Amino acid sequence: MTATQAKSVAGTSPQMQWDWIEHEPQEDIEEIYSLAERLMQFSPMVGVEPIEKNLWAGRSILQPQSILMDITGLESWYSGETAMAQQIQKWLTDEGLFGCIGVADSVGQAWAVSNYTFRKQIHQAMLSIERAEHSLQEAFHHNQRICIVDHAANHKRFSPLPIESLRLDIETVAKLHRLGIRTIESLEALPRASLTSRFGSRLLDRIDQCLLARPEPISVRSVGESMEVCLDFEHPIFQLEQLQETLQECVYQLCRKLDSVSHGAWRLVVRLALETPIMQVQETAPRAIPSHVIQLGLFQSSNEPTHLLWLIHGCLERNPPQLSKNLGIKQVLVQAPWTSAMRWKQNPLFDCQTLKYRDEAAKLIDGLTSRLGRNQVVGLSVVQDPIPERQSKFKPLTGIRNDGSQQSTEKKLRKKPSQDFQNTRSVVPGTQAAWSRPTQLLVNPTPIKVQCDSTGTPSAVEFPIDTGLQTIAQCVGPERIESSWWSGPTLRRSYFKVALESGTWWWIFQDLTTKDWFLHGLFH
Amino acid sequence: MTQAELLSPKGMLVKELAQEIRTLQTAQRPQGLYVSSGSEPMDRCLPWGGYAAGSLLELTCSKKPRTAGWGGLSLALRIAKPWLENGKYLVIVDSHRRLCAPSLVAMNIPLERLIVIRTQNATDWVWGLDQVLRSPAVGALISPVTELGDRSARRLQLAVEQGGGVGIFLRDQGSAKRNPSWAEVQWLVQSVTTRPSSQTPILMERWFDLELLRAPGLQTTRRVRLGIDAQGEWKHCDERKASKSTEHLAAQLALATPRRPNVAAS
Repeated sequence: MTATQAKSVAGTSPQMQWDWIEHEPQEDIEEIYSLAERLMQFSPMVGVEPIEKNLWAGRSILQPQSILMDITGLESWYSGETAMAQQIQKWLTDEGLFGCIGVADSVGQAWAVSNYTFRKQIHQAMLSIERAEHSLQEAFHHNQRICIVDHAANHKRFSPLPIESLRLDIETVAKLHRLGIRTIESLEALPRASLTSRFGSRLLDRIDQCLLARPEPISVRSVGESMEVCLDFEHPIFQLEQLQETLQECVYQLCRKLDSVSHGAWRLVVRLALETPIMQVQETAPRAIPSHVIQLGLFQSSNEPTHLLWLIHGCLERNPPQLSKNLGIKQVLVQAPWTSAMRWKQNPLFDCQTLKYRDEAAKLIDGLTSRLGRNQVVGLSVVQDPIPERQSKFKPLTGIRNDGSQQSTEKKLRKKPSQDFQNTRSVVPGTQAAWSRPTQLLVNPTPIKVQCDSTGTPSAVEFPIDTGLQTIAQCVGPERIESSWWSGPTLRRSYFKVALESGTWWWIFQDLTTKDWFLHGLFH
Repeated sequence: MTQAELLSPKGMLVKELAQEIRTLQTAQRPQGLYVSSGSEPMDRCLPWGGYAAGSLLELTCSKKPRTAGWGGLSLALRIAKPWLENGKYLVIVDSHRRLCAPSLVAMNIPLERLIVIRTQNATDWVWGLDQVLRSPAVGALISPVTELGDRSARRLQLAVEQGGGVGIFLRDQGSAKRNPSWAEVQWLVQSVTTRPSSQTPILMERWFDLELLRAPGLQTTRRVRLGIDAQGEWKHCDERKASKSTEHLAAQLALATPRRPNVAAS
């Protein structure tokens, strides 16, 4: 959904409050991988679509947006593929999600039908919301969006679909559009030999993957059942001390398994199955209670049992299971759903100091994350954007990478900061001077009162909670900053750097639209 | 204590006991490792010509600022910089999500070795700081401090001794006086509003008056005036005077420009 569509949908309901929120790609990645993990209840083979270097036509962001699931042989458990797809869609709806499902013989076919069969239907649903014919719930949840391609169906089934459904890059699609080829049907009419010479072999691969159902591997997140340790108790346990002993046993077993295949865990999941003792359960009440789940993302893959145990204990301290005499732990399951090979980089020729402390830093980050939470331990980077509040980007240091594959490990270990081996400056010096931007930027600019002289330069400032006017000793400005027209509502500001008589330095601005003054930054 | 009292047997005993206490207190610390702040006048004020590895440092401001802006963070970043040169990490506690990346880059802080942590309560804050200071990967930690109990302060001191880095706390003078502190060095910082000189653009360098309130063996208060320039480097008072005098001397020695004939008038 584009921002304009979202705005029009939000505008249909006067009660609905809406606001512009910056898109967080990392949140999307986390969510889709988390969803893939949860979908493993339907099939053990669940993966996320592999993204390529270039953006596919029809997509606006270079991020995985589809989940792939191998259901071979599983449909009999659900009385057929249709029933299984319906059950998955019901589950998605219950989770508050909106999804389109395609079932086919190959990844290419399923991807094409799930991504492009329902586009018109979704567009019409959006229009009906804009026209206030249906509510958001009604428009999206009363129709089934399941497309099942029969085994016997020939490739004519895909003919009306647009060529974007073949997962082609933008350049190829643009070239084909210039030739007037917009559907798979018209693409099929072209001789295959000429396609390779004009568009490269990738186009033929994509056609075969879709029309001839050429198989493709699914990059499954889980390494299988072997990377988990499960302990059942005959009688539920009620003491946390007992639990810690059990956890220790499980983690040591898991680490031995990981070590035997030279793997390390990127992610750990601990499930504590809670249960009420049989004697105390009432006939009407259900005996099963949702498990207590601990999920951990690591900064660097690890198979050290002491380190993993320390992280789990940190989580248990922060969020312990509520045990009582009526509620005990029946089963402990420790899983490593995402592992990677513990391959280490050869020492560089020059002494790279950053790598020297990386292992220690990784342990520290994991420990802090397990106790404080993932979003509380972050890294900082600079974003090229004229608006000051968008120039700093905080990103959690642990969690899932963009591609979600094992390559991240190598990539991260291979990454070496420039010039670090010389122990000189490890970053390129900023083009701006040290005092041109404040060290701290307020999340929400605070309104202030400002007195200006005849030239429009601030001469005195009053902070709402302080009493009295403070004289400005020195002032530099204005520095005009405006936002781009394509990035939300236009912001037009005049910034001034002011030094008060008290010695404090502030970064203030005047909103040129409302003429109000705000305190935005502190030279702390 | 007067000079005579210091030389008396009682005075000597007190001195010996103080030395013993100090040895006990810093037993875990890496011995004999001191890192220069990069500023000669500041190092001259310190007993060992630099900050000891595995110690805490406090930068305090004279009065509780309603809105910060007294320059403590900039000073702390400049002091922390030499501690990062051997590939160690910098950790900043930023619970209010206020850190501004461009200014850190301009001060040559390596963002790839920066860890920002946010804490939601005092317990987590002390625990987080303890873990950070204890890690050998951390060269410097910068954190604001409001209230800190005696036991927590000692816990942090022991942690930093184990880690071998430096912990820099930013606090106001009232809090520093109210609460005990295990910081080895304590500075009182006052941002100075200086008149702009002809050589530097207005508000492109910032000056501070630093008063050393606490340091091992400190007998009298020491003061130093330091600045940070547009490149994020230290600037000293002498430099400023020298540059001014050079300017004046050059102006005196320069050949007088011959007066241009008034063409328009002729």
